[in-house]
Amino acid sequence: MNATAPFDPALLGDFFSAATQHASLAMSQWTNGRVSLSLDELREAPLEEVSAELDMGDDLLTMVVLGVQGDGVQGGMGGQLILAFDDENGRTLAASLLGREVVANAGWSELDQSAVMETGNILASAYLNELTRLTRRKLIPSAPFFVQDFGASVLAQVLAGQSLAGDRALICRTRFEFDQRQVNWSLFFVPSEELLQTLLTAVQTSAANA
Amino acid sequence: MTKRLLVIDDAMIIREMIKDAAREDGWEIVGHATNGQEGIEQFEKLQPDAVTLDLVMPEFDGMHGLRGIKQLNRDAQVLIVSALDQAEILKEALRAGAADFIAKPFNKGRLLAALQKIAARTAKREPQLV
Repeated sequence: MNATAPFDPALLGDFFSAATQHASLAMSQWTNGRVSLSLDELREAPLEEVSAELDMGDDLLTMVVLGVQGDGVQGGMGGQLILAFDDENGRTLAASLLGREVVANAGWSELDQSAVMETGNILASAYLNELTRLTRRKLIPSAPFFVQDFGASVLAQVLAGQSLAGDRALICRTRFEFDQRQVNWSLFFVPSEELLQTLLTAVQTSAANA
Repeated sequence: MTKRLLVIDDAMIIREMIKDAAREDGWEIVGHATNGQEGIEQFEKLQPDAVTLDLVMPEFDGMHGLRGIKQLNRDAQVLIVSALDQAEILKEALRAGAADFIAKPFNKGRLLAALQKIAARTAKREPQLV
């Protein structure tokens, strides 16, 4: 497969389902069984259409952004992982992890931010640990960044970086449940073209060896 | 004798979890650092009996910290506490001299068991009073 050939995202479905299950287990341990996640949708989209596809809208969001670095990936940068919440859901998560009551409209303390960033770190690491095991390529998250901004604005910055590496994105939409109730959290994994090729090659190798 | 612990992690929530658990188990927390280089400097200054060390941190990562600490003291007891649970990386850390590894998210019992193992190891090295 060459770098620009179209592909069927379903080829990667098993890998991403396994990674999501692994991440769900880690999240359950981190939150004392309160949070779980499942893969909702895996879709390829041209970069210029991603903002509209993801419908992140103009709302102010709380986000944890992590870069993905991998061996065999040119420039070392293999994409981005973004964990996003609306303000209420972000505060609920932080309060739950810190064993406190939710305080609406308060500032975000350093400890609150740390709770949410570490959630992003644990989630991304579990996700990438499993992808590493399946692809036999080392994939490592960067340290997390805490961002509060309008969703579309952050996404535009992420995609501007991605556009240096390719012209399409793999969108993994994830459903989160908090206390068995679906919540408005989103996890976006946007691998670079190089990482996408690495994943596809691993799938083909895995299928050939099966 | 009270054992002295240095905590190296960029995440405040994890540092607080480790400190609280270790204090309950009788450790004295002598300091903390938020990246590998700061960790090396704190280790040199504080001379702790043991260190907990995250791997993914901004600017200078945990492997940088581990190698620097082991250069200062090849007997340094460094417990890796990381969400990065990948065989190749863990092998690299163990080759560089890490004493043990526990994965985040960890439970308190697992953390304390690893620290107790390290404490027992350092106790054997200390001269015994008779």
